[in-house]
This record gives sequence, structure tokens and C-alpha cells, in this order.
Amino acid sequence: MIEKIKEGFISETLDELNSLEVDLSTEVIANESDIVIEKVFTAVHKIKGTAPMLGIDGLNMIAHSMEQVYGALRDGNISLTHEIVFNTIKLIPALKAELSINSVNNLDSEDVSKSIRYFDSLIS
Amino acid sequence: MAKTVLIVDDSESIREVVNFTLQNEGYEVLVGVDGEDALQYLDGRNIDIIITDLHMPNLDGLGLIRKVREIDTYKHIPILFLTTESQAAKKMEAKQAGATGWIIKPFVPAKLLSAISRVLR
Repeated sequence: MIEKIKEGFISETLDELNSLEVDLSTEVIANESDIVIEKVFTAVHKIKGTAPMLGIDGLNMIAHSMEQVYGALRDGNISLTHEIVFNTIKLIPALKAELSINSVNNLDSEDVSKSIRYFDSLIS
Repeated sequence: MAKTVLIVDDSESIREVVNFTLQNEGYEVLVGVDGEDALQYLDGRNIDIIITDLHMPNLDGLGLIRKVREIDTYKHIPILFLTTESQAAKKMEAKQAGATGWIIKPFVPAKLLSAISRVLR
């Protein structure tokens, strides 16, 4: 039963992350940034709260960092910048790689760490 | 008689995990996908405890807690909310809205069951 729930969660989350990549890579962000901020926050909030319960580890550090930044954006404590979007676009494939059991992981882990450090610096 | 739990969360996976965990322990479970959806169950039926996420579309957890506290039948029903530790500020807001307590996500089933039985004791 839990395996079936896990499969559903992975499939649903990958779809959400794919959709976010499209949103963040297009002009939509310029006009509808509030909608995209909410979508990113909701996606990483769900990942952070659900993935460990299903035995999916390795996502928490990235999800926590993104949740903090997008929570601050949502609350108006910081403003959306191209640098935040750029680093988000770099972190989403890292989340997808952790979820995709069969995928080949070509990510540069130093690049991912840099983006996490950048996000953490916005909150500290 | 089995206790009835109303679970409210927009994450299908969380709903399924919680539902599975509680039904295995003999609870009756009602499920709402957001605060608005959960209100349909507050029609006078017997519900022993509500467990709600905070961040949800349409009507969020805080809005749901406030609405529940306005309904005479459910004015004193225990309400636990699910939260991640980065939402610490929300805890106080939820308590002021009328929440009984909280459970930090992610949680293991044993922690959820222990929180429920403690509140229902």
C-alpha cells in the first residue's frame, strides 16, 4: 500500500516540477510571479512534508532551503529576482533526480550546493 | 465505538498515508482536500477530532479552524494542525485561531497515533 502511495507521490511531484520548469523558463514569470511563487512554495512544502514519510530521502535539504526562500517571497519579506529564478531552475533538476530512481544523475553537486548556499544566505 | 477523525490536506499522498494509518488502528476516517471541502462534513455528524494542514488552496487551515470554532456543535472539538518546522510563526496564529496542538511534518505513523490518543484521552 505504501509503495503504491509512494509511486503516486513521485509521479504527481515530477509532473508539478516539470510544470514549474516551464513556468520559470518563460515570460510568464514577469507577469504572474505571485502565481509562480505560490506554485513553487506549494510544491516544495509538499515534498518536505511528504517525501520522508514515504522513505524518500535526499530531498529535504533542497526542499527546506527553497521553502524558506519562497515562504519569504510569499510573505513579501524579500522580492523575486532573476538570481532567485536562476538558482531555482538549477535546483529543480536536483529534486527530480532524487525522485527519479531510474534516471541518470548528471548534476554537478557543487553547483547544487552553491544554489542552496545562495538561498540560505537570503534567509539568514 | 470507533472514533471518527476528519483529515484535511491538499496532498493526496499525505491523505492516503494518514487514512491508511488511522484505518489500520480502527479509526473511522473522513477526508477533505482543503478547508472548503472539509466544511461539508461539519453538518452535525459525530466527529471526534480534526487534523488539518495549514497551507491549502481555497480555504486554508487557519480559515478552517476559525470557521469550526464558530459552529456550536464543533466549538470544543480537538483540532490538530500539521506544519513544517519552518512555519513556526504560524503555530501561535493557529493556537490563537483555536487549534488544540500541532504535529510537525514529516511524521512517523506512531507519532501521529500518539498525538491523537493523547488529545482524545
